[in-house]
Amino acid sequence: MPGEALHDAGREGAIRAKRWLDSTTRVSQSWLNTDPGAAKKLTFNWPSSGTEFSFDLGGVLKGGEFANSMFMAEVKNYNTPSGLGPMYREYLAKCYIAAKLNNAITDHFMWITWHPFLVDSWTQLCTPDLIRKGITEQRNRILGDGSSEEDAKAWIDDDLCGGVADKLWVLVLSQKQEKLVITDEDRAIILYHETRGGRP
Amino acid sequence: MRAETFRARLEYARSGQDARDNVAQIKRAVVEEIRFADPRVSVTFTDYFNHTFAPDLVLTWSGDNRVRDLFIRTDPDPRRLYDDVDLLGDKHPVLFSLGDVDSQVTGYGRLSNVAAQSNTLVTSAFGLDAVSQERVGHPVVQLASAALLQGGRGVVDEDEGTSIADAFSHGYEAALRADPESTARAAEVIDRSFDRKSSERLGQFLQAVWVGSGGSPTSFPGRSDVTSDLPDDAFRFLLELADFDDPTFWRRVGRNLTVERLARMDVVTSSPNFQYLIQGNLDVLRARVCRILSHDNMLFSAQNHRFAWTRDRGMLALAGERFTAYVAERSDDVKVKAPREQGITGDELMRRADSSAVTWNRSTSRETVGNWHLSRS
Repeated sequence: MPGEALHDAGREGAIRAKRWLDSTTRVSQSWLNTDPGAAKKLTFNWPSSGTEFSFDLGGVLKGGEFANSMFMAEVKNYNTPSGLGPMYREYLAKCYIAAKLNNAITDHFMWITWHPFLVDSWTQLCTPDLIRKGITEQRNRILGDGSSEEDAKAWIDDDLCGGVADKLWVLVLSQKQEKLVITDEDRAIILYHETRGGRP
Repeated sequence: MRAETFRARLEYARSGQDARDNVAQIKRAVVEEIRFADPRVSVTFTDYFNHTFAPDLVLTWSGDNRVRDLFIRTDPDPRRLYDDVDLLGDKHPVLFSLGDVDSQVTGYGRLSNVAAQSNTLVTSAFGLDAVSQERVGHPVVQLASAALLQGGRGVVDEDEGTSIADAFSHGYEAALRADPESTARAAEVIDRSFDRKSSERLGQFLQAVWVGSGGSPTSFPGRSDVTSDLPDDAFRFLLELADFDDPTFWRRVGRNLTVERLARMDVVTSSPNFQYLIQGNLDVLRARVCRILSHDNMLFSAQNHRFAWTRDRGMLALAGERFTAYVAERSDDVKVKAPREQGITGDELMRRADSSAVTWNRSTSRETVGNWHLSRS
């Protein structure tokens, strides 16, 4: 896929993911990194290289155990699993760095995709071990060129690694699932109650 | 420019570490822009921000049962705003973009059409500011800026905001001259930029000015109202505007007012605009009965005026520091009981008046005054 088409597909995926998340009734605020002014809320720096990375989508959850907690999401609008495995491990490294830099605003990390990936190790996707692997693979951006696997393993904070693992969500969407949300009529009742203090 | 200040406030709001705090500041900045455009509006905050389906703010107007949801939008891209209008247009909301919507970007024309068709207003601080700026030189433009949030439609960016304000101020001046061509152009812009209810109301103002300037109601070039008289809710709209000191305007729109109608009109009298309305039309307001009640010093909300017109106990009244004078067209309309104490005679009233600074209307006859019941409480 050419770069521009990939960019458009990525943006479309982020927009669809935002709409689906908003449809769950458990999101109160959300923004994309393509929104002017919002990107800096989703952007961090690799410690050694200084280059930036950013998440595609972020916001605030509402209700129950997630009330007022913040999420950041990486969205992959792909129709094949090709390349998703290494991308996911890179994303895990990004989550670790983001949490290390500002743990207070990184309550949840969501990986949202329309295609399964790493199916042979599906149950391992949200484990500290895979986060360690991701960090080790990105060690040059974190610790500098020439750093070894041992350097990376020694640098990793196991407590933080476990904490990040607890923050991980993997969400696999489908077009049908995007429609399997609260109806417009029921949403209208909830919103009317919440925003105007009554029923429509 | 006010919009530049808004932009700076956004930058400051976004500089904080925690986006949740940033959002609260951004919403407060948006509300200030809204209240500047329309001082009559009441705003309810919701917990939502930039949500696909839920509004950030709910706008209401006292004395008017209109409610409008306002959705803040962080991306001014016309293609995304088009999707929002497509999704939300049936609720006729306001989409308030934090950045100005660029008319050169792909999708602008399509957005503009769908927003106008669905009575959805897509605007920004830059659009509202463009309208508000015109108020400095042409106070009458605040009628349009106040109506915009309630019934504006289409994309009102900086250029369109200027266009609306220009058309309205030129239309007002044309109506003052009963000039059909320029008035018609203003009426067209009003029809294009406002939903039916708001365009009817703004058209009523122009028509009232037109008729007050000697034009015939039937020759008014805009959407014509048979009665050519402003209804009470239109007066309520005017009186709730910010201080609007344009004696010509108030004189033109108030020529058909009567004391009886003012007495039963449910409007805000604490506004300076109520004083302008009455003062501008004292020459056509006829009262045949007056009852004066004296009282101790009182604080009243006439902005330090010694006398202020007000509505009290279902009557039009002139309130001073030590008295309130209730006026009516007929004695049957007097709803204020006379105190038991002996009042003074009409002759005594005239004698005191002659020795005071009060200027009496020359048409006031001694006999008429003699019918007034004057008393002290």
